[in-house]
Parts: sequence; structure tokens; C-alpha cells
Amino acid sequence: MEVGSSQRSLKPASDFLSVFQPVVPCLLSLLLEPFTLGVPLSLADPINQAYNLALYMQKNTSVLLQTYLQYQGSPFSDTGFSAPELQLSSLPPAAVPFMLWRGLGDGERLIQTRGAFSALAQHLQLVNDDQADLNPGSSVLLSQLAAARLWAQGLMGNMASVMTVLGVSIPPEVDALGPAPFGASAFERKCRGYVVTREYGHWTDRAVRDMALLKAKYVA
Amino acid sequence: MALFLTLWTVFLLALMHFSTCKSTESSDYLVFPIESLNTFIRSNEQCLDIEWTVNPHAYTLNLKMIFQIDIRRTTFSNIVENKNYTTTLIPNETLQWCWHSALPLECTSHLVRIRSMVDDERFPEFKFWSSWSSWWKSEGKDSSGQYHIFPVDKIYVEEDSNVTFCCISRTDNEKVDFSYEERYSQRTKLSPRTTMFEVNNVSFVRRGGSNAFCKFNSDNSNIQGVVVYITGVIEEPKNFSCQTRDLQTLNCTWDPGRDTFFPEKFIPTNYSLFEWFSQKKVNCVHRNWCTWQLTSDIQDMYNFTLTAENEVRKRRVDILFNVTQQVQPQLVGEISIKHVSETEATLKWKIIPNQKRLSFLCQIEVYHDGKVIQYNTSRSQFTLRELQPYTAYSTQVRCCTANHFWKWSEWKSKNFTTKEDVPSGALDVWRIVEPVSMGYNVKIFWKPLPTFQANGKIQNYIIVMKTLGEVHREDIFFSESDSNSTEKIIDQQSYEISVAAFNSVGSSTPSVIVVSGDTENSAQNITEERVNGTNDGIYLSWKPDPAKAEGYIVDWCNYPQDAVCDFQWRKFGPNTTSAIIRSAAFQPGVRYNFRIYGLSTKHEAYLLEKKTGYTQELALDCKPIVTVENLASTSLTLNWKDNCIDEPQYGFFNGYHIYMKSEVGGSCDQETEKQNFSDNIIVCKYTVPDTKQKTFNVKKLQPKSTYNFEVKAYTGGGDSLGSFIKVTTGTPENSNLIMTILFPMAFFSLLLIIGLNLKIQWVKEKCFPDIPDPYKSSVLSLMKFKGNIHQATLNTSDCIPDAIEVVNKSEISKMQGSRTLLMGNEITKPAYLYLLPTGKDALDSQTCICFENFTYRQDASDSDSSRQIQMIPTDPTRSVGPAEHLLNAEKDYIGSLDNIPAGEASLNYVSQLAPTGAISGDKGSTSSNLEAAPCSEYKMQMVMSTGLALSLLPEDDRPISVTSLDQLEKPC
Repeated sequence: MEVGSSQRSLKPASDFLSVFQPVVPCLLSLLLEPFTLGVPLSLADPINQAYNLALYMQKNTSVLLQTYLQYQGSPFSDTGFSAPELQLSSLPPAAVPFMLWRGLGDGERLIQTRGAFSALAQHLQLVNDDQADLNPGSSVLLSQLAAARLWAQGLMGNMASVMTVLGVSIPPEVDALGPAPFGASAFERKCRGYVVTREYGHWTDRAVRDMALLKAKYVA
Repeated sequence: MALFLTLWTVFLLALMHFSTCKSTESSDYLVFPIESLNTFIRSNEQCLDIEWTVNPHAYTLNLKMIFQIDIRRTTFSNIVENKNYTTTLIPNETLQWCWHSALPLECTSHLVRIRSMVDDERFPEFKFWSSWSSWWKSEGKDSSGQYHIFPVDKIYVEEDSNVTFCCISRTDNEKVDFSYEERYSQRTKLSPRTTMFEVNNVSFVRRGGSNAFCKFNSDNSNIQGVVVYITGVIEEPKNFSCQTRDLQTLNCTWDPGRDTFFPEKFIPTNYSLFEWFSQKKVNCVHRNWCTWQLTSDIQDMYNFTLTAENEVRKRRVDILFNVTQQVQPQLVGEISIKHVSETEATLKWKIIPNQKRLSFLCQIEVYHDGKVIQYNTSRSQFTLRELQPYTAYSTQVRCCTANHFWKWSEWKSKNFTTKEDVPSGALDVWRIVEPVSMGYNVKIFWKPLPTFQANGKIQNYIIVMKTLGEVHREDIFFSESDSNSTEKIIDQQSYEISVAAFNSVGSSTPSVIVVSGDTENSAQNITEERVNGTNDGIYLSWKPDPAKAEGYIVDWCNYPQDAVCDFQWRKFGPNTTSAIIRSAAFQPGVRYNFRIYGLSTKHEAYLLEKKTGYTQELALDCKPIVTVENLASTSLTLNWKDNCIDEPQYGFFNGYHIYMKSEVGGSCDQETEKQNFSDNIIVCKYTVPDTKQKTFNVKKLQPKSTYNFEVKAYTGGGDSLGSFIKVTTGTPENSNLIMTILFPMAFFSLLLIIGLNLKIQWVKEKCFPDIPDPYKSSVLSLMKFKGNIHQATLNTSDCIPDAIEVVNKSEISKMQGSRTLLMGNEITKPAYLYLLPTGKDALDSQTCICFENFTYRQDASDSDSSRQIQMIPTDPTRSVGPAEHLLNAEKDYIGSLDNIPAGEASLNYVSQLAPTGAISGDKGSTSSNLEAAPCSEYKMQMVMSTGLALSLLPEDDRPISVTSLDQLEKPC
């Protein structure tokens, strides 16, 4: 099945910064530097920054997914729940044949990953809004969703820095969701959130691999 | 139009008339079959909205009709609903009925048909059903070719209700799985593509809702789900009421009942107020109260409907009231105090709503000294009267509407103090007079005035001492306000002392007391009496004063041991002669001394009695150490030493208790008090009621027994500690026994022997004379008693001796020295001088009378007097000699003694009498006159054993007289 086949645009979610004050200081060094310094002097720093952030994100993706499923009830909260068949057309899948991925150029690989996190950031905003409606008392889940969206945006910035150093042109951001997807039922929104949080984990894993590859290549 | 209706009515009436003639076809005229039918699905309410029309004429007549509605699902042949819907037709109003289906209406198609019947009282004869309409089909989603679950999105259901779901597959007969919180669901296949699932009694699981979803095996990636939110059932609001505090805002409150599971933000239970007269509505922010702005002076009556509703249910409560009767006034600002004087104060307050159409009733409460006085007023001020000067009062005021009571306002409080006034009453004054070298030391005490008498803050006390003697002198002293005594030295004169208290306004009445040292001197002769304490205090009683005292005063010290003894006193009226003195300071084991004074009319006090006592006596804190002296077999002496003294602690020292416990048990003698303990131990208690006595003799003890002694000092509070001593008495003393019993016996025996030796002759004559005096024999008394004394007593003058035995004196003495004389076989043969003719003849003709001397056998003499034996020969030729007579007599006699016990018959005393005829000289007399003749001779008395007598006799035929040594008689 296809859940939420009609994807629409999302609202900006800058207000989530206020929710996560404790994590802001540690993230500032990762997020703000590419924007403030413009073109970095060397390639190692942005790669390391992007790599470190991706690693940090990777440690939290499973927690986010489990927290999300726990709040949705059965069957999502059932032990061992997995529905790989659920996909979102508005969200590119992270799964890719290894040789195809390995054969991609550095720029293309970064463009795909950055584009995916751009779509993920939009979808995480959508999921956050959905859960605020479906689970209004789930402050833990809402805070984790907001943090994930912030980290996705940060990783996008770090990757843009790397792309800049590598001389790869940064494509403009795409409205992945399209018109507002208000018609989805409550169950569809739960499923949609599941796909988003799951794919967020998959794309984070892929980003770590991407950055590790660049790190091995460009950072001694 | 009216004309048309009139004509139509006339037509119908005519038709009715016609129908009476032709009834079979008349029904067709008032039957209105369904002309159009349509259905709509309202998913939120699970409602199949059915709309239909009939012929417009039916509306014109406003007919009351019954519509029978049949509903069935496509896949079922049976009818799922058969409803009779009754309504009155109204022109231009659509006929409509909503059918609520447990199964979501999208799950399958529903078919509806309707028929009608006129049910109008105006046409009772035309109640005929019309024909059924054709089936109208409401299409479901089961033929859409898509996967579905119904209901869709999210639904709200109440707890414990039943929920029906359906899963619709894309193609026929696909396998479908349904899940809802791992609950069992009843599966029913409605059509090849639709399966119905029923879940009963759903319950709350989580705030995020429960997921119901269908999973189709033909397409694993396709899951259709719906989120079900469970809510509690809204209860009808209770205690809905409204009131106003200011006639501007109405405050309505209610009890919402059991809270639902969810916060109102998520499943909002909306509360709203609707007022019917003004047709205004407000949505309430809170779930149990709401405010409403009143339009002042325009509307008094209000009709409110409170509505509580959520996604599932709606509840309503109505209330109608006059707002002027729902006013709870309030007091604004502080209560002001005006015109406070010594005894009065005026309170003033402000009430809202301040409108002329409202009148109020106010309540004032005044608190003072734990008491409350209540006043009521309809005004907004009130004057309190009869207050105590210089007294703090606490007041509070509340008000309510007077015309219609609704609620009291809150209390508003105010405190105030009245002004000072002159002290009232007089101080309670008393004194102690003690002799000192210069005279007497007078300590004057007074008790502070109670607040109600002080009437202000006491600033000082004034003491005026005035002599009552010839020399007039007056001294004035002041004492601080916090003092309660002063001390002055006086001489031998009497003084009048007055004490008064001052505050800022004036002085109290002076208290006067006359003090003189003489009164204390007279107290030396008054002895102190002991009194007993009670649970409450110490009971005192005194004799009425013969001088008719004006009153009595008892004083004492609360702490007699301390330097500052806390002097106390109490005054009593002239008729009181007893009291229980109570004090919180009284302690057990403390001796309190009381002095009882009489008070004269001249304010002079004189000591009447002294008392001393305890509230409760305690045991002394000492331990007598006991020792033992003079330990004997049956007695001992206890001595003890102690430091027990009769000090004014603990109790009155009365003496000692001596406790004795025997280890072998036993009883207590009469001098002791027996105490039985639970373990059957008996303790004997001696009481020594003398504190000076330190020794005690214990007697009547058992020899060779162990005793435990304990000596304790006792008071009214019990015994002190004591020390045990264990004592074992000695064995009985034999020397003492000899000294006390045997020695006196020996002594007296010796005296008796000496006496007997000295008086042997007298004793011999009295007790065992050589020749017994027959007249002194007891036999005589016996004979005298029997009246034949002359037969038993021989007259010695009549005795004719027949032989004289010559006894050698030395031989006699020899015989007296040997008791074996009669015992041996060799018997000394005495020499006889035969005075009477010898030979058998001489004796043959003589009869001999023998008798037994009964003085030697008392029992025999008592038994039978016939023992006196007479041997009278019946044939002279056959007469026998004396030996034979004696032998016969002995035989007979012995035979008569056969009945006597052997022991008693060992010895026999026999006397032989000579023939009586020879004595009288009438020798020719025969035996025939023998009876008249007295006994002729008293012969020698013999004593012999029965055996011996028999053995002796054969040796000699002569009559002999044998006796023992001592009783060897001379012939008479």
C-alpha cells in the first residue's frame, strides 16, 4: 500500500529550537560553522564535522523509532514490529545496491543524501504535527522528533559545506510534500510517521557511510 | 387556498358517506403511497438518512400517518430494520427519518422500502396500508475495487460499548486479518468482499487511541486502519446553580461528575450555558463553573440550560430563578470602629450589592474570654454595650439578603479594646509574721487583680501601714506593678496595713489587714495535726471558731522545701470549716504544712490550727540492716540499724514491718498478719509501731527450721527497702528437758522418800498395819451397807485360842529377812501349844467357818457376798478334820476362784474361824444352832498362791494358817 500518496508542502518548524535548549550548545559547533565561515579552508574539517554529526545522529535513530512505535499502540508497539513494505512516495528510499552506491561520484552521493535529509526534515515536521494531534501528551516523542528534524537540517548544512569545498553545486531545496496532506486518516498518519522515522534511520546510516568514505578519501 | 381546503374537506366527507355504501373500493381514496424515496449516508453519526414524499394532498390535510420502513442489507434476505414511523404531515416539510446502524453504512449496500397508512382520528375508517415502494438502494463501498476499513479515520466511542468494523477487499474472497488490541472479534462475512468484525466492551488502553486494522494477504503492503478513542460516559451535571455577589456577574457552578479519561483538550467535553429569555449562549472555559454577565435592572428572571457534550454524547440541565433571590452579599473594606468607650463600641461596615431593591440582615458575633455573644441588625452599623473596660474583643460580621435568604456572606472580622476604668473590687491580701531580733518581720502578699477588676493596666501598688497604738504613725510605700509582695519590720504594736492597686484612671478599694506579733506568739501552743491527702488535694477541716470569726484563711507553701516557697493562701467564709486544698504544684511525697487562721471583724488574724500532710505518702528511702541474736531452737532476737528518719519527705514514719517466711511453710501465729502470695508462699508480718524500737523477739519458731526475715520501715505510702536475713533455728536441748521435767520429778521423789521414811510408822499404820483394824476396813463399810455388820465382825472377847504359837523373835526376824520362807520346799514347822483337845474327834464335832478377807480383794467383795463359805458337816461320822475342812474349803474356794483371771488370783488370803459353840460354852449344841451362834474365833489369816496352797496342804493334816512374811499374823 501507499500511505499518504498525496504529499504536500510543510510549515517551517523553527520554533522547535526553543524546545531543545539543552542540545543547542553542542550542536552549534556542528551546525553554525559552515554558515558562518563560508568556504572552509580545508576539506577535513567539514567532512569531520559532518561525519561526527552523522555518527551522533546514528546513535539516536533507533531510540526515536522505538519511542515513536511505542506511542502508536498495537500493531506498531508490538514486539518485533516491522513493515518494510510501507513506503512513502514523497520520501526516497535509502536502500540502494552497494555497487551502485559505491559507483556514485562524491558529488552525486552527497547530492542524493542531502536531498533525502531535506525531504526527511520536511516529513519530520509533518510527523511532529501529526503526533501533536494524535498524541497531544507525548512530550517525549515530540521533543525527539523535533531534535531529529534539527539534526537533519544540521547535517544538510555540513554536507553543503563539504560539497562547497569539493566544488559540487548545491541544488535548491525541493518541496517534497507538495500541497498540505490534510486528508490522511489517523491510522495513515501513524503509518506515515513510522515510515519517516524508519527512513530517517536508514538515511542516517547511509550518511555515516558517505562521510566515512569521504573521510577515508580526503582526510588523512 | 381556504376555499380549496373547504371544498376538499367537503369532498372527503362526501366520500366517507359514500364509502359506507360501497366499502370495498373506498380504501383507495385515502391511501397515499410513497411517491419518491432517497437516502443519504451521514458517516459521522453512522446514520442512514431516509427522505420520502407522498401525495401533496396528504400534507394539505395535515394527516397523521404511519410509515412502515423496511431496511435490509443487500447480501441478506432478511430485514434488519422494520420501523413504524408516525408523524403528522406538514406542508413543505420533508418526511425524514435517520436510521442508526451498528455496521458502518459504507460496508455494504442497504435497501429501503416504505409504505404508509393514514392514522388520523378524523378518518378512523381509512386505516389501510398502501403498497410498498420499490426498494431503494444505498450503495456501499464494497464494489469500489479498493481496500477499505470502516469506520474511517478516527472514531470516538464510550467505554464498554460495542464497536463494529468492516474490511473491504479489492477483489472477491480475499483473505483478510483483523486486529484490535489483541482482542477477540466476532467475524461475519457480509459479502465476497466485505467482512464484518464486532468488538464488544471496548476499554481504554492509551491516550493515543487504539488501532483497528485490516491486513489483506493478497497485498501485504496494504494495511487499512482506524484509530479508536475511548472516552468515558459523560454524566449529567449535578448541583447546577447560579448566584451573584454584586448583581453584575452571575457565577454558575455544577458538579461534572466522573472525569473522562482524556484531557478536555483532546476529547473536549464542552460545557455551555444557554439562556432562553435572552437567547444568549456562552461556552464555558472550565468544566465545573462558568460566569454570565447580567444586564442590570432589565432582567430578573433567568432560564439557563447547561449543556455538556463531547463527540459521543450530550447532557443538558435546566434551571430557572430570580437573580435577586440568588444574591450572596459581600462586605467590602474593613469594619470600622467608632466611639469606643469603657463599656461601648460602635461597628460600621459596607455591603454590596448596594441596591435599594435589596434589604439585608446582618449578624454580629462578639468574642471575649472564650464566650460569644450574637446580635442581629438590619442596619450597616451596630453599637455594642455592656462591655468590660480595658478588654480586648474580637468581633465578626456577616450579612444575607433579608427578603429571600440565599447564602450568608463571608465573615468579616475586627478586633478592638475598650478604654481603661477605675479598678473595681479589692486585692486579696495576706501576710506572714515572723519574729526577728528587732520585732517582727511582716511579709505582705497580694494577688493581682483579675482583668475584669483591674479595668486597665496596673501601674503600681500602694501599701499604707498605720499604727493602732497610742502613738499614731502612718507609713506609705509603693510597689511595682509586677510585684505581689513586700516586707516590713514592725515592733510590738499592732499595725493596720492596707494595700490598693492603681491604674491610669484610679485606685482599687484598699484591702485592710491588722498585723500583730502577739498573734504569732499564741501559736506556740497549738499542736500540729496530721491530715490525709486525697486524689484531688489535701482535705482540711477545722473546728468552728468560738469567737465567731468573720472568715477563715488557710495558708501554705507550694514548695515547702525551697527558699522561695511560693506562699499561698485561700480565704473562706465564716460558715466553712473544711476544704480541699488543691494545687498543681503539689507533689507526692512532699509534706505540706497548713495554718488555719480566723479573721476577726477588725481584720485581725489569729491562728487556730496547724495541719500537716501529704497528697500522697511515699515509702521511705532507707533500708534497715537486720542482724540476729539469741538464736535458740524456738526463738530469736532481731536487731536492726537504719537511717530511716521522720523527715518531711516521703511520708509519716510509723514504725517497722517484720516479714517472716518459713522455708517449710507453716502458719502464722495470732500476733502476726498473714499474707498469702500467689505461689502459695505464706509470709507472716509483725508490725512494730514504734520508730524507736530497733529490736524484736520472735518466738514460737519451729526447731531446726529455716526462716527468712526482712525488716522494712513503713509509712502510709508503703514499706521501704529491706534486707533479708536467713536464720536456721537450733535442735531441741535435752539438758533443758531434764532440768525442766526430770529434775523436779527426782527432787520430789526424794522428798517423798524422805518423808515416808520419817513417817514410816504412821504410814505403816495407815496403809499396812501389822494387825489391820477391821473397823477401819472398807469391808465394814460394805457390810454396813448391807446391814449385817455383826455377822462379819468377830468379837475378840469371844475368841478362844486353841493354840499358842511361840515364835522366837530372832526366828521371826529371820523369817522377815527372807522372802523365800514360803517359796522353798522346806517349811519351818512352828511350835504350837494346843489349847483345845486335839484329835479328830475334837474337831469332828466342830464346825468351822472360813471367810475370805475381802479387804484384799475389793473386786471379789463387790462381786458376790456369797463367797462367804460355810462348811457344815451333814454326817458327824463323816466329819473331817480341820485339814480336810480346809482342804475342802480350799477346793471349794479355789473352785469359786476359777472364774477369776489367773493374774489376779495369784494370791489368796484365807482366815479360819474356830467353832462358835466352844466360845459360847455350850459345847453340846449342835450344828442346828450353829447359825445363831456368832463366829467363835478369828484365826490366822493366810496368803498363798493357788498352786502353792494346793501343794502345801497334803503335808500336814492339821489346820494351819499360812501367810506371807509381812502379813504373818498373830493368832487372835
